[in-house]
Amino acid sequence: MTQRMENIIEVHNLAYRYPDAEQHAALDGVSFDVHPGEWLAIVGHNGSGKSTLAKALDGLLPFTQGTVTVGSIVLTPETVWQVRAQIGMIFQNPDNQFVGATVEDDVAFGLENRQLPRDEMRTRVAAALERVGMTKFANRAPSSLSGGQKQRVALAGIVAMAPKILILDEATSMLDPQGRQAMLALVRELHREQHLTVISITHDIDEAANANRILVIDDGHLIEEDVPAAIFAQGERLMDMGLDVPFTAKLAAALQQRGITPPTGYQTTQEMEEWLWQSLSNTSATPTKPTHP
Amino acid sequence: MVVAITFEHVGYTYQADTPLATPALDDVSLTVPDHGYLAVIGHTGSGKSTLIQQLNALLKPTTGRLTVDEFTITPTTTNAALKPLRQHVGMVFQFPESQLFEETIQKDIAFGPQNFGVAEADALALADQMLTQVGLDASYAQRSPFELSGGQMRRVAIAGVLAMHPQVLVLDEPTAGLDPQGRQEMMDLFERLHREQGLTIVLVTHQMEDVAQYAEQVAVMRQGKLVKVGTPQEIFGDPAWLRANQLDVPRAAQFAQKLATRGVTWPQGLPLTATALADQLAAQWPKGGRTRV
Amino acid sequence: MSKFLFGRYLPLDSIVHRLDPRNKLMLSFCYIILVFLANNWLSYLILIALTLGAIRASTIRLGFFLRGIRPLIWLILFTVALQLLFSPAGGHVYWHWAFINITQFGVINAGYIFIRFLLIIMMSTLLTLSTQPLDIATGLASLMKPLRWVKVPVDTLAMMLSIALRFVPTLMDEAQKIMNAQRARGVDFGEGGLFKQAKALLPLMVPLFMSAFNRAEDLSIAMEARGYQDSEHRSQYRILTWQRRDTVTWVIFALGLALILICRRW
Repeated sequence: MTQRMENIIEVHNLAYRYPDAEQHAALDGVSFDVHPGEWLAIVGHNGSGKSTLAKALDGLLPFTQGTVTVGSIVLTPETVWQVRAQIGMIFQNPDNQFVGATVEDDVAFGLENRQLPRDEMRTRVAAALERVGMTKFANRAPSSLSGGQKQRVALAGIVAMAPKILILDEATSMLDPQGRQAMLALVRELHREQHLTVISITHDIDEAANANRILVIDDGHLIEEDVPAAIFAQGERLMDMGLDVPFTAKLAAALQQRGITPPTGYQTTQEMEEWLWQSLSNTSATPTKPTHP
Repeated sequence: MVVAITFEHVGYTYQADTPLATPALDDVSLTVPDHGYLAVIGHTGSGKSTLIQQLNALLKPTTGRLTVDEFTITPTTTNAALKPLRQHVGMVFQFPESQLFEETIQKDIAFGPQNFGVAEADALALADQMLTQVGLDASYAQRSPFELSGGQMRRVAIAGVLAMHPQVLVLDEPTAGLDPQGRQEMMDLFERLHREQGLTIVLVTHQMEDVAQYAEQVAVMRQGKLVKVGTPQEIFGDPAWLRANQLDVPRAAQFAQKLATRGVTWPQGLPLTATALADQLAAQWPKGGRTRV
Repeated sequence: MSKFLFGRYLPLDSIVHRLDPRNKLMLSFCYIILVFLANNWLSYLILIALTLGAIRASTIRLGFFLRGIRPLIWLILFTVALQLLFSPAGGHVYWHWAFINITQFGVINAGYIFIRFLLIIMMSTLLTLSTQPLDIATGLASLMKPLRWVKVPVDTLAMMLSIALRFVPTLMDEAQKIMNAQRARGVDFGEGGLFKQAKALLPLMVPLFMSAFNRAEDLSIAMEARGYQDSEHRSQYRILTWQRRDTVTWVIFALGLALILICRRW
């Protein structure tokens, strides 16, 4: 294997079987690499094994076969805490990962585990809450927060720890649209500012569209690995991958049924808009170029 | 028009007559026709949940009155008079799988009907029938509901509500947490019940695509008030207003509007779905640009 | 629903609220000793003055304290009645029947018992009204620290208590949702005979337990992912600081103690 750059995560031939399941494995022969600073989306329908994969990366499941290397540390029962120190994870249910009795206590939880001195914790908690815009909620109890706010607190807990890798395990799936958008915007900023490596396990097409690369997991196997545009070009098949069909693909399919042939391949909304406008005004001479509205 | 549901100046205050009184519904008036499909949209905390809980008198109005078919609910209606209403209006709450408790799936589905006086044998037979209606195999009947996946558990919970043979089905974000395929199947199920069995449907949702595709009538809630009622066309036809209220606009409508700013017109009104958009585009497509299919 | 249990904390900003919770716990404990030291009307008057003073300083309305007494009223009346009817002979006998004597001593003792109850309930109500449950937990854990020497896992207990407190509102919410869902399926909670009511609890308790277990599992994974290994090897973000006002309360307490000891002599 040629090394384009040092990989931050390397997964080789990973397998996992739940102890109580007689049937097939939850993960089987999964291998892939993650580059530093990359945003990787992992998709697949419910029960495909993608959340199992996320947990395996963090040493939260004792996988039965294969190796996981995080930041050049091979994951073993001895190194698991070194591996976890490099990864921040946000899970699906906002309520079930809120440990502290108040917002600031929760942000401090990970720092306490690392036995940081109190003065440093105070500085880091304050900065992290500021970063996610939750400063004025510092003393609030979780029961008085919305799901979106709780997830932002979870993100603050990770900002405070400053890991290299952020794993979002369907972290936006229980949020309302506002909460989801706010959360995604925040992750995008952190990804850019702090050169954070992001792995997002998701069903959300907008979240997947942020990625540099998408892995598709089905039935415990890695079945595809490509850039979003190539994955999104598969139209109706995306449903089987646990993703929604992008709007432009739905429109293209509907137009096709009405005898109109759209350009092949995945179109962004801007490209689609441009093409439709060109076609409707019948000025086929001008080449397609991106517009800046 | 036969009316199924009428709200007349309904108000509701939590913990009324205490210092903690918080108004949650304020002077709501609304009618839903028999066999109608109403979508209720609005932010988290806008009063949507309080509104739908009036429909089977889990909460009784503190002012005004509510009529659901032959039932009338006023602040003074006794609880005993309301039990038949609970059978008439089926409620599918958010994450309904959390209501399952019986040893077998069959018994759980039969639980509701038995509470309303259906004999055990009949209720169990009904359960088998409902199981297939929600798309689960009849062989599941004797299994424990807790062995199933989240999506299957939700189907069982819905079967348990349908087994009571309600005339009105109230759905509170029924697709939350499902993958796109599961969401689609769930929405198709409700659409079938609406079409084939004439159920009146009240859907609370954040998914504007679903509103555009399925609803016949849309109610917009804000801070306990009903701020707008109309057809999806009327509601989404005013995107500026929606954005001012921080509500999403369906993708197709957003896209159609962008084209409109370039001069494309929508003689049949703003299209809200990909198919409606394709229809209107095909109608104005320049001759020669189409191939016959 | 939360008003039954932990919603009793009143978020005000008085000097009592700001006291160190450890101090408040210790004061409450020592106050009970003080109450049992009192043995005549004068010493009880001093106690009443101290209690009312503390309540006044908390800026909490007296009505909240009376409400705190209500659930215990039968216990109080029962104890007072026992004291009244069965206290040892002494002083003037007002009424006599079989082995029951209502004597002067009995009446006086019953009165004292009544006041003791009242004072202790009021002071502990003051503790819970003016201190967040979390602070009480932190304070307790801090006071129990010496028990580490006898291998009591104090920090683990404190962590458990804090998590339990944090999940009380969540589970109450959950219980409300499940109750609504089951009422919509025709369950009548709190109606019918005892058997019927007990049966109606099953559709509530089973899902509630399932949910609590699922949450616990999720939570333990989330805690592990955030580097939690055990409670003994952690630093503390929330620490308690002893202020001058805490010292002042002990000066007042010492004064009360001295006065009561003097009163006892009389």
